[in-house]
Amino acid sequence: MNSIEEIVKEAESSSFFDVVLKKNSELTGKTPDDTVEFFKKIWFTMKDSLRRALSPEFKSSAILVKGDGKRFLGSEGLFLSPVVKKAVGYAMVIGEANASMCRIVAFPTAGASGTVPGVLIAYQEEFGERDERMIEGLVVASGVGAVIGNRATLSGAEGGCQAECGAAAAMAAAALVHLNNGSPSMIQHAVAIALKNIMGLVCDPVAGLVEVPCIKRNAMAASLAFLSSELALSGIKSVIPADEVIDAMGNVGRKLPEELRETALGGVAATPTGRRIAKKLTRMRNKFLKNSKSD
Amino acid sequence: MNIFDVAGPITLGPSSSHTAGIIRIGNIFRKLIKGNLRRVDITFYGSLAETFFGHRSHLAIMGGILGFKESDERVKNSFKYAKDKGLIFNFDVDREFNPPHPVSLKIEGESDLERLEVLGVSPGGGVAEIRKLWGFPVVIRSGTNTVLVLHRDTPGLLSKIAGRVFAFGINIGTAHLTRLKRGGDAILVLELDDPIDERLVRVIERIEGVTRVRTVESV
Ligand code: SF4
Repeated sequence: MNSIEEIVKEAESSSFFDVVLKKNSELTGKTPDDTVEFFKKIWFTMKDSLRRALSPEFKSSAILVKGDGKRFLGSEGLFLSPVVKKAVGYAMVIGEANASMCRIVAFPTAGASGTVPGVLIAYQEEFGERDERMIEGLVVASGVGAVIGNRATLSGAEGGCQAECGAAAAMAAAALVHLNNGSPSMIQHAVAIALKNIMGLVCDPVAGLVEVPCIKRNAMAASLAFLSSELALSGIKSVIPADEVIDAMGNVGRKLPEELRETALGGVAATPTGRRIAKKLTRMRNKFLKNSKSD
Repeated sequence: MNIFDVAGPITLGPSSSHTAGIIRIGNIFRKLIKGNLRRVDITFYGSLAETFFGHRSHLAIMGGILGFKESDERVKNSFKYAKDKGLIFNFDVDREFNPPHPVSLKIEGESDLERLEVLGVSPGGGVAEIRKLWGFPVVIRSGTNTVLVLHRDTPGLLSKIAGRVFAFGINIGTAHLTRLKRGGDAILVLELDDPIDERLVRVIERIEGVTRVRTVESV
């Protein structure tokens, strides 16, 4: 699982999905049936997380942002098509559920856990796709994620947000191309386009919380997945091949100063407002420590 | 990295290193201490001393100690469950101590039978490690079947223990033996390829020179 190009080449006689499944069997010894079973659980957990976060009983315990996703879903449509609007809203709803310590699927990480389920669940609802096909989409997305992890990184602390929300956008874009019966090489172009468009995005969580800018970044990544897949499905090609874009992303990530890799010392975290919020959180923490003694 | 590493874990938010990994440290601690837990004192180190509150790592460690898994939403209310059980708990931070990893913590526990202190590390991706046990530097990793044997440093003991494990048809993946001084207490950490048989534990306990045996099954 080290090269998108290699997968695309092998997929000429089968499909991107089949090749990822086969390669993963060779790597782990798990049968394709076991793998599909594993992803079935992932898929239904994603849907369950969203369903519970949308229910009236859901209590947000996010500290900085509350209710954005639901509010957005209830607002009138303006520029976005129905499926994109829904995906963006769902991505934020799951992002907030994650911030509220609810059960989610880290995909590829907890911080970026809203993007792929947001896109895929909205897609299924709007286009009426079967669960089996959606699970294929998850396998394709994970194959792309594994290549990004192997050639570059999937961690904000190592490579910035391009490695989390950026990777999630590329993974979701790959799944959308597969679901629309795009060719394996279209998958590779969608991945390349998504990652080029988010190259260099820093990780700068305010007060270290996975809320600002993270929740809205999931919304952005969801919309980027639709943009990249639709460009690729229309036949537009990326001049730079996906593997090279991934390598470039890894290099850029390594060059990012530590302040911009999850330390909450740069980017929006270091703005006057960001600092004020961080100070407030420190006061809350100190109060907790004072009151945490039960004897 | 394969596709199982990308998809998941299924876990509580907001961050696998500050929630899932921390819950698993608590799970391992619960397995290691015998008896009814009465009191725990938790100290956060390194960057965790700054970030634990926003990431709810305090709820995570308490939930883990109570035995809740990393996808169990009861963790959110773990303080309430702890109080209902009459568990006494204290939280503190220590910025002076230089931990082995930025996300580290210490648990000091007391049950009706014994006291136990461990140092836990959450290196990322929801993995947990215990780095100090019974005063010894060790590495106990979540997701493994590990047997810990405290014993007096005597010649030939290692082969006796290995022989018993072999007799159960279980393969030893890795083995680490640490002693603080010659002829003193020593700890043997065995990672096994298969789940641990409780009978094996009793067999090892009966070997002369062995003072304590604990197991951690893949959590
Ligand atoms: S800003 Fe950092 S913490 Fe937030 S989603 Fe992006 S990579 Fe994760």
